[in-house]
Parts: sequence; structure tokens; C-alpha cells
Amino acid sequence: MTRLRAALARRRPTSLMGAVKALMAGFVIFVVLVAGAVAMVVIVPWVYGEYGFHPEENARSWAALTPQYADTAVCQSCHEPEYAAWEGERHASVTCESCHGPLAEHAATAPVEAPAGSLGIAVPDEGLCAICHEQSPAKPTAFAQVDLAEHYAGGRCLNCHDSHSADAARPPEIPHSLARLPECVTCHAPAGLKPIPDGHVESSDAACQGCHKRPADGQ
Amino acid sequence: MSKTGMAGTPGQEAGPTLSRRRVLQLGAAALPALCGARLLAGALTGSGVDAARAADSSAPADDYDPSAHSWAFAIDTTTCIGCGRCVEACKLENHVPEKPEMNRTWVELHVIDQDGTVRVSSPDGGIDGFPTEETMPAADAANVRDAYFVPRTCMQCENPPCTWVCPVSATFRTEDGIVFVDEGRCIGCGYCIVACPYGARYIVPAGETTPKGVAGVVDKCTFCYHRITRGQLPACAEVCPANARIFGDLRDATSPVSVALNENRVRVMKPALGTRPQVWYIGLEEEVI
Repeated sequence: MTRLRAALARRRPTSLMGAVKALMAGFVIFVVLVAGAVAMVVIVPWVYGEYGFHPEENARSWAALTPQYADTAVCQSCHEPEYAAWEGERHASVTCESCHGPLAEHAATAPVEAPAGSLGIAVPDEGLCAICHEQSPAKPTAFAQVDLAEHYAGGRCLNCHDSHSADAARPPEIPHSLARLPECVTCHAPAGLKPIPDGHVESSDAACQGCHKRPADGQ
Repeated sequence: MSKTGMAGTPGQEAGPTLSRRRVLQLGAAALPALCGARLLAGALTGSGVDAARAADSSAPADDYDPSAHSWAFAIDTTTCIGCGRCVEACKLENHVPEKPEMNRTWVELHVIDQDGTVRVSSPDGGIDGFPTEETMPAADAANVRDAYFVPRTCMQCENPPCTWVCPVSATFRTEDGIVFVDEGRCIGCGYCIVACPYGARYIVPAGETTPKGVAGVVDKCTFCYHRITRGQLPACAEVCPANARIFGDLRDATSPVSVALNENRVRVMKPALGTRPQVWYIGLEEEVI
């Protein structure tokens, strides 16, 4: 203790000049502190520490990339009829871009007055329907699945199903006997006695009867 | 002053008290000055971040605060239908190479046989779905006890082995829970690919680049950081038709992922490794990697 007291006594200013010197020393320390702080601010990047002390702006540059997929609300702003058919229906968990692909760029650049179908947006085909709906033991049993070899084989999904609502209109059944009759197209050709509706093509009996059944004959 | 202090300078009278004591005094003054400077600098930068952000127009969300989020996935294997829309969306969103073995996310089919054997397949990462006759042949049905699809991605581990092994500190984890690769530092050595227990990383092959246009470095899932910081879902979750990829913020109790973790029995992959994944699985029966 005595040694400490003696040391402190030695440090205590004994004159006016000594006091001024001590004040000056304190002022120098203060100036160094401020200068150091300013130097730190200049040298250390602004974002240092913002992302877990990684000194790069790397995380921010990942955040600055441009999204390719918009979202359903963006699609709705122009495509109201399709949105209305889809909303609240069985396909409502399937977003627009699940089937139509990434469309953020389309949403940002497409002219609003462009006629429907003129911009080359992908319209999916049967292959995409099958990717989800082909029967598989690995899929949840509650999920709608069909055996592709059985379910209107040869027909096109969208002939009966509406892709947006997933509603299906079953093809009309054949109201007459098929016994001792010629090929379907004999009467049902586009210019025939009872022509096939628009969107149908002249097909083999197998193709016709793949969709149109004759329950009374067990066909 | 330093000249005065140099005791060995010939022809100069170096006062012994001046040189030693003065140096010690200066050192004693410099230490608190440096510490104080760091503290002061911290305070100044704290207020400076917002100003820098506001000036940077490339920043997508000016008010995005990493410290306020903790991103996570709950993946529901009981609803996944193996359609692979997530794999396709990920590739298109994130400039992932078309090569089927290179994916930020992919889907596996786990088939558990009657004897408990687990078979895992992932044709082309599942991008074109799982054609039934090729992946679940009817002839094999009697032998199968259970089968389901398992979407895979980077687990964004809280304790990531990949960041530990990187020799150049190129890969790091952020406060909001995303493990990134700094493409400016990565030397493409592949140590992190070996260290990752979940196979979540790949080296960008010749002729391809990362989303930021860099070749020859490691790439991996970022939970679509450019989307989630804008309030969007990751692309895989956006397109999932079966709601199997439940994404959200664990800091928000009403977030879908928080609700899903609350309401379901969940598990992570390889918990014994202590990696603390931020991707939880609902309905995962056997652990197969």
C-alpha cells in the first residue's frame, strides 16, 4: 500500500505546469480516440457485422438477384377469368406457374392489350397431367390418381377436364346398340348423318370407344 | 520523438526515463484509445447502415432486417406426390445446371420392403416425376411395405459442417439462418461438398455459372434468398401443388412453418451429427441418406 501511495504521489501534479501537462495528455488521448473512430468508420465496410460478421456484402448480393417466378396475385391482375375459374376449386393449391412455368419476366414486359395466346406462354399437355395424376402406390391415397391404361386411354385430358377448375364433363355414353353396325365414322364423320362435334377428329372405333362407353353392352 | 527514443542512435543523448517510460505511457494511452475507437465506430456504423442501404437501389428490401428472421422448412412427406415441379422451378429460378445430378433441390422415392430394407431412387432428381412402372413396378407390389416421396434440399444447419472445413472462409451462415457460398472467395476445392452430410452442394461445371455469373465455384440452395427477402416464397414452395413444402419464419409463431412444427410430429435427418438442421420432416419413417 505504501508503495502504491508513493507512486500515486509521484504522479500527482505539484505545479500549475504539471496540471496543464496532465490536461494536455488527457486531450491527446481524446483526440486519438476520435481519430481512431473516424478511421474505423472509413476502413470497415458499412455492412460489416450485419450478416454474422462476414466482411463481404455477399448475402446482400444474393438478395439482389431477380426472381423468375412471380406469384398468383400478379397473374390475377391481368388474367381474371382464368383466376376466377381456378380460385376455390380443386386445383386451387396448384399455382399458375406450377403448370405455366416462370412468368415474372412476362408479367413485367407483356403489353396489357396483347391478344390472348399471342405471347407464347406454355400451355401444358397430357404429359404434365400424368406427372401428378398417374396412379402410384407411393402417392397419398387421398390424392386423385388414375390408371393411364384404363382411364379413357387414347383420349386427351383436356377434352373432358377443365385445367383450371379440374372439373370434368364425362363423355356422353353411346345411346344405341353397337351390334351389326359399321365403323363409328360411317355415321359420325364431320359431314356425316350425325356429325361429331368441333374439336373431335375422325378416329378408329377403339379411339371413339375409349371415351364413349356402351354400358348396356358391357363395352 | 521516435528518434529520441531510439537508444542506439549514435551521437544522441537518449534519456533513459524518456525512452522507456514515454513508450509505456503512449502504449497505455493507445490501448483505451483503440478500444474506445472500436466502440465509437460501432455506434457510428450502426446508424450508417440504413443510410448506405437507402442509397443502394439494388437492395431488394430496404427494410429487411436479418436479425428479425429465422427461415425454415417443414417438409410433409405425407402429401408429396413426387411431381418434381419443385426441382424444375428451382433450376429455372436459380440458374442450376440442366445436368440431372446437379441440383439445389431434388426429390427421392423411398421404398421400404417387407423385410425393412429401404430403397432410394431419384431419376434425374425427380424433375420429370416418377413414372409408376419404372419406379414402382406392379410385379414388386407384394414386397413393398411402404413407399413415399422425400423432397430434399440444403438443411441450412445451425451448426454447419461445410463452413467449418472451408479453407478460405468462403462459406458462412447468416443471422437469419442461410448458409451462403461467397463466390468471390470460393476456390472450388470441394471440401464443403465432402463435409456436407446431406449432399446439398455441387461444383458448377464447365460451361455453366452460378446465378451471379461465376464459374468453377460451389453452389447450393439459398432458400431463394432473393425471393424471401422480398416477402415471396422460395420457388419450390411457390409451385408445390401438394403443399408439401411448408416454408416460413420461426420467429413468427403464426408462420406456416411454425404452425406445422407445432401441430405435427417431426424429425430432422441425421440428428446424431449435431448439425441442427433447419429443415424438418413430417412422416419420414426411416432415415436414409
